[in-house]
Amino acid sequence: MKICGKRIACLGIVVALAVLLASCSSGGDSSTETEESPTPSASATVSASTAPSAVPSPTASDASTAPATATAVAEPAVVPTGAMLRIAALSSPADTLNPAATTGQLEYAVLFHVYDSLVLQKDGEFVLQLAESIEPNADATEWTITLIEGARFHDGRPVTAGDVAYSLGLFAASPNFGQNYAAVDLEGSTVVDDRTLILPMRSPRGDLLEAVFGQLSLIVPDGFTDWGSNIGSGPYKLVSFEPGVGALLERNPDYWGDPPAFDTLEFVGIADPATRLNALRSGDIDYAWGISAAGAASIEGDSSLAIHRDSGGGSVIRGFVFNVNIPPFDNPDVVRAVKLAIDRQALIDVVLLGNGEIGNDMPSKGLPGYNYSIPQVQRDVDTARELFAAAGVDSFTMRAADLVPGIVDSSELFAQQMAEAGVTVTVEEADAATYFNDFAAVFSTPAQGMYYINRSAGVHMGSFSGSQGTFNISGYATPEFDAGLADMQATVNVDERLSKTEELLAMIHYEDGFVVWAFEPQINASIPGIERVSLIQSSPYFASAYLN
Amino acid sequence: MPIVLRLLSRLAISLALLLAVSIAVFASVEILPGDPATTILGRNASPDRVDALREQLGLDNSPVVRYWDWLKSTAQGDLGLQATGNRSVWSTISTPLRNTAILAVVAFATTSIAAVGGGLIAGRRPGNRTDRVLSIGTLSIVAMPEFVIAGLLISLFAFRLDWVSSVSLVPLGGTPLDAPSTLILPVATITLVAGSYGLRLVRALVAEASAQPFVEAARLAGVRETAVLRRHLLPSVAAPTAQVLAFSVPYLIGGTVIVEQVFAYPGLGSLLVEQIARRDVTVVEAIAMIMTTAVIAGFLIADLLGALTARHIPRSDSRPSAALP
Amino acid sequence: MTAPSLLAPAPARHSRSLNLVAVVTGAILIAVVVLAVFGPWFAPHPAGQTIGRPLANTGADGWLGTDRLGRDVWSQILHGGRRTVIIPLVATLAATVAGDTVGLLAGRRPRNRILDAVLMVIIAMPAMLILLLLLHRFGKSAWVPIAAVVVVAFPYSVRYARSASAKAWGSSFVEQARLRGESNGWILRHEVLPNVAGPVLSDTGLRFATSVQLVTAASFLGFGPSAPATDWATQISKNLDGASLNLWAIAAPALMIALLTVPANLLADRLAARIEQ
Repeated sequence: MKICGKRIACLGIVVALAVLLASCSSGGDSSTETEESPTPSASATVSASTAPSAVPSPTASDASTAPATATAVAEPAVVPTGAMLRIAALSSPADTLNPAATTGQLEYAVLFHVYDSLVLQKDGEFVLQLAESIEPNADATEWTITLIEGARFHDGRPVTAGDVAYSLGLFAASPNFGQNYAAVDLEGSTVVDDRTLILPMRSPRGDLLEAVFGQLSLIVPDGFTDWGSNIGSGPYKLVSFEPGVGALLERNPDYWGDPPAFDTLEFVGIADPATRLNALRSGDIDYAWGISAAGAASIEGDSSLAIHRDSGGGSVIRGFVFNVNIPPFDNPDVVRAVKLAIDRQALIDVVLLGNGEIGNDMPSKGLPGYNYSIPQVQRDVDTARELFAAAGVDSFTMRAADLVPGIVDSSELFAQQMAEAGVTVTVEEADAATYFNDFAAVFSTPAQGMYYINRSAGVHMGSFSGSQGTFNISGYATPEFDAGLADMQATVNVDERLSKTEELLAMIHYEDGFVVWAFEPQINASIPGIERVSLIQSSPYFASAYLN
Repeated sequence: MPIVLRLLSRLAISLALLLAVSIAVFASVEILPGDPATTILGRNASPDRVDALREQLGLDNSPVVRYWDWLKSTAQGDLGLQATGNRSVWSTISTPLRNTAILAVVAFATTSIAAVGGGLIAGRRPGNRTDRVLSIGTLSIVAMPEFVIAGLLISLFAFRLDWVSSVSLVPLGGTPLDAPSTLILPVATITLVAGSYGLRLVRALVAEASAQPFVEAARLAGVRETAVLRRHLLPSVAAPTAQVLAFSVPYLIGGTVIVEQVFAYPGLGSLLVEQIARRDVTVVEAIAMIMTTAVIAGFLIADLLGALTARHIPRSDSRPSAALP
Repeated sequence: MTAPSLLAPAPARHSRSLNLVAVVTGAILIAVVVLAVFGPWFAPHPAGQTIGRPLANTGADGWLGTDRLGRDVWSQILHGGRRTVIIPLVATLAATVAGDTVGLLAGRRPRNRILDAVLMVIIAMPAMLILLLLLHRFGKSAWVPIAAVVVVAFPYSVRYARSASAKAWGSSFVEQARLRGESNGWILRHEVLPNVAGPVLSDTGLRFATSVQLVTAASFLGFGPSAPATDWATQISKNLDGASLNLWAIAAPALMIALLTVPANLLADRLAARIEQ
């Protein structure tokens, strides 16, 4: 985890990381390469075979692929036995610990600690965890998963290929992830031996590891359904769970990997970011997952608290989505005018209080496959005004809901900026909790404020762009893009796939109705001295964290 | 009417009332836009999957059929499964209900002390300085929205003085009583609001009793004030005061939505706000029925207290009220 | 809360201090209402305009600082008053008209079991439940809190107006008017209304605070107006996060709400006391 006291330091690390990724593009997609390069595959093997040490140490993956992180880490201190960490996260009284059904943030965090995954998207990298290797055949029509040795569930049973087949079946059958697993032919899968599973594809997927397993591949025991008393193979055991209240986890003493430092983790459900921060201030919790920019500013300089800002894989895409099939945005000039009229830096300064990297109308900045060659869009109000006038556009409505804090704020400021280009924007505030209840409305909204977890470009486009994208709310799906996307997904060679990803991003940048004005680092806060908290997608992961 | 008959007739009326309210609640939840199937499936679901789930959840049945099914099972004590997720409604609401009940019991005690104590002090000598200060103070408090009062308490006691936590974090696997400090600010807010309201009602009763000839006579005869209080004032106001306090029960259970939200107290009010957003018919119904049952039970108790004693609290129609939301 | 309405009779002696209270509260109330209604005309900045750094302290960016979008807090107060004052006012009037019309007519035959049953159903539903159900059924609109206020206040207004008018309906003047052959409408206008006008007015005054509470609760829960329109409760709920950076962003609107409801309640109580005498 990158703990940045100052924004400059953060940016420096991000840039370093970005340059690294752009130049050698090994990063997370290198698991299919040979052992010469420092691959996550190798690192997983290393940590699996290393004897558990009393003190947590940086894993090989961190040392090899994220030098910026590794250098920032001091020699870990020994944590006193009995140390407990209390973490506040968004939770709902209606959530469950069924990994295929839950939508809760707290629940995901608990699941990532109780279970191991085939692949984890950790700090923006794809890291093999339970898998020793995940290899495609030459045309990506069949994948072979080989498990590591020695992993055991909390009840002592070894983790086997049968458990993997059952777990993947759970996800494939679930409404939340079924679409993602559509290409995987689970009925045709073969358990070769305890450690080997062969998965045929219905259509070639060269990006199965990142785009499918990298999203969620927790492995539960074969046949398990007793959600709430979950048994996994992860670094922590579930002691108790109460929806909406929280969960208590204790260290798994027989963990196959590096033993975690904290004896117990207590996850506390707090829905409101401001309340989470207040709870941290009053000492009721040690770590607040997700605080607002204003909240962070209010504790800046308070030495009794630490702020953690995470870019890249831990960041959130801040954007506006314009439906390119609905007037007036079916006119490419209007979309272009919006992109020219918007003042991205002002949005960052006001809405995010300066905490964000400027966006260039593409997802995935800081992650593999991002296109750095396209120049940053510059504000040009005069051209925008002319384009709007030529298209006859003088007003439109922007729908906004605070799906994360600040979406409504950004839309209100956007309206002020459009006024400078001669266009009146009415902000229609919607209810966040029910925003996605009515899909028809979301897909037929001409303009709306939106956020996305920043995922790698291939993953993002598979879900959010093209005619196969189940949540393509901008409606951008030209035949060229669709063909390019299918071609990219079927490509096995990583470098080749990443360069195809960059081309697809260029199409999004120039043609899609997708305005990305910022990448906002996820802001968490904690008591001082908590080091090396990782982020799995956006969820904090404390298996290698310790108190300095 | 004999007390047993009165009890039975009141019970019958209360049950009829519950039935009527359940229809009203069910109807308003039913006609809300959106439905649980899309809520469960989230943003990536296809319409086919949504349709399949709708069928599975029985959302395709007519509202009348669903209402009848629900009524039948509820009458048998089975609240059913919640529409979103596979948990039983009871397991979803039991903990928040318990938390709200704990908050309500503690707040009822403090509210009673504030209302009775303050009412006696203010009403004993109507028109004196204490009475006027309390009168203006309580009127001002009941006039302010709860989030303003709660906000004032938070800024003063949590941030400025740093005495208590601004958040009501209930310990995992425990109850609010395991961490009594979680209750301080919510109870204080509720006590200020409901206590002010109750205080005004009790004060009126005491003032009326104070003006009775036998009280005046006792005072003129030089009976000590504590004795006047014990022998004359308290007995004559006890029954209607109990009624006043019984009438505060509905507010303690159902009116604390804002207070629970402000302090992030994991109670029934917070759950209600969330579940209404999720359009979960069964959970919202259950919460609404618990709240209305509490209201109706409060009425019933107040009514029976009135019946048990000769004195009746004057009917609510006689003077304007500042009813609390 | 649905307790029997039985406000303490205001202390009858000390009329001098009473008048002082009435004068002071009346002056505050008038000042706040004037500020709310005419505020937009002399606000330093247009509604919802970002003028500088967000959550800046008192000083360079206006004497109350700026809010979370860098807008002048003082200007926002001036722009947000109209909705905060007028919506509850409209709601109160609507509730009074609806409730009192039914109540005055019902006063002719005070025992009406069907009406009582309907009123009881409403009373048995917590006000916040009614508000939340309506908000989610009809979405964000100024009319929803108004409707909620009308529904919530209806039973109390009906009962009060019915009770107040029952005496008048049964009076000997009405009896004589009937003998003269006057219509019910004439009797209502000439005999009943003049007798209940005072009590109904004070009832309305006390309902105003309740209306403000329900309407602001809706805004506080996020169902307030969309920018650039604003109201005081929305300003509080939206700036809670930044309270430690600029306290005035929430303290100023909170103070304004208090300055609106507290004097209104005190004044209505004085009025009720006067009528009682």
